[in-house]
Amino acid sequence: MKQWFVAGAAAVVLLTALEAGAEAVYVKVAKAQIRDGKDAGSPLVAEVDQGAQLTVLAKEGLRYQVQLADGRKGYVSRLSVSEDKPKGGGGLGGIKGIEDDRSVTERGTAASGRGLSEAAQQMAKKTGIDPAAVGSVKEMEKLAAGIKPSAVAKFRKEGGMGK
Amino acid sequence: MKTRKSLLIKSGLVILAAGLIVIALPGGCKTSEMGSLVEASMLLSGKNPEEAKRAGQAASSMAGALAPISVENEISLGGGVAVQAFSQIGKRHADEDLQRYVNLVGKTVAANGTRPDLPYAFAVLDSPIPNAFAGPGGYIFVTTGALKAMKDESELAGVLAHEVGHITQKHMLQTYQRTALIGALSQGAAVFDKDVGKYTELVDVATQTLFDKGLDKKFEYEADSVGVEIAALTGYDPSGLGRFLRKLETMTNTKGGWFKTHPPLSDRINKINIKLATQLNGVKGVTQRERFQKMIARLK
Repeated sequence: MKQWFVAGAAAVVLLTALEAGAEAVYVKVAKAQIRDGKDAGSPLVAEVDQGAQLTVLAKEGLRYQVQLADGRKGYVSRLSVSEDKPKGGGGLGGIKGIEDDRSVTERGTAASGRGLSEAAQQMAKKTGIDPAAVGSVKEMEKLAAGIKPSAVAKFRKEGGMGK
Repeated sequence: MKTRKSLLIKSGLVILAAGLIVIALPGGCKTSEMGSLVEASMLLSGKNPEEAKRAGQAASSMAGALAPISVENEISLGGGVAVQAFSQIGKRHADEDLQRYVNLVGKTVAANGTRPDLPYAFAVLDSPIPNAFAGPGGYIFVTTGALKAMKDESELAGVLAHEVGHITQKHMLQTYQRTALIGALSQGAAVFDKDVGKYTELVDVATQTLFDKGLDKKFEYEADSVGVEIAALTGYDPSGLGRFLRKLETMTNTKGGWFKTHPPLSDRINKINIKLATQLNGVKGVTQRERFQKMIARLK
């Protein structure tokens, strides 16, 4: 019952803010960190998924003070948000608890298998570049494409980042 | 009287050409078609073919500057720059574990940039000159000389975040927009397969900029600012980039690399320090010295 009351109050606050002309922004990075202070060393309030909508309460330099869909407030880097609504629509949710493991969007590595373009290979041939250089680009792309988001998340966790 | 009439006709044609560009671009008219359109209109107005051709090329270039550059073209050009990097700067370092490590650091910071969906790929080049650079589309390089000059992972993350900053801010694409070659970039990637000469010209612009002339100073300062922010957002000590630059200041092998193509190190360090003291005051992050040293020991 209490949870429903809190959710309802949060929705009213959000709708009131939007009606009053508050600006909406959308998370454009894999995960946006919402902190309770303006600097990146402040305690983490939440991590928000790409595409989620945030209400801007104030713009303070590189940080925006924002309100989340559940009513919590915090600061986010302006690098992490966009005023442009993402295609397919931004959501109001996507908030994860701070204990959740930070992961990296699958799309980033899924697209990595693109491969070296025909034009690049033709250029190398016509300008007499050592074929080994072309081979090196292919190896570079193959290695990068083979690193899964879960491996990046593990690396990040082992490194003690985002604590 | 005749001169006035001629001026009126010329003005009318210029307005017509500009109008066509404005009207046709949102409708999907290709930049080459725009050039042909303007060229044809100039011929119809009695201009000689040479003049008409020049006007067509100018219109095509203008239309290209206004049109969006496709990501597939950006990535295709990045591949060409990568080929040139391995050919001109250094061979790909043979240690696959080190290559994987640099990719993990790079992908971790790139996920906090504003273009996390690009297929980023990182490579270590065998070169004693401390250097790092980014081709269009997410191809990022760092030399063994740069790695050996670093003390910890936050310095590597800072350098890679600087390069990611160039990509997120589309600095190379902005550089292209100042050239007459821009028209080709707003077309589909298949155009490069048909016109390898044009593709090679575009790659040459990028490699000359990255390896010799350097990007505009304001782009370098912006990449520093964005890079420091990305490193902080990722959870690294944001002072890593500044510490690496200070180390470079003390080095004697200062020919080439970031010394040659970037603004003075002291200016960059000052700007980074101001940012750290004002916008990132008190921000702490990990340095991961131990993990980095363990990997870099493989180079010695």
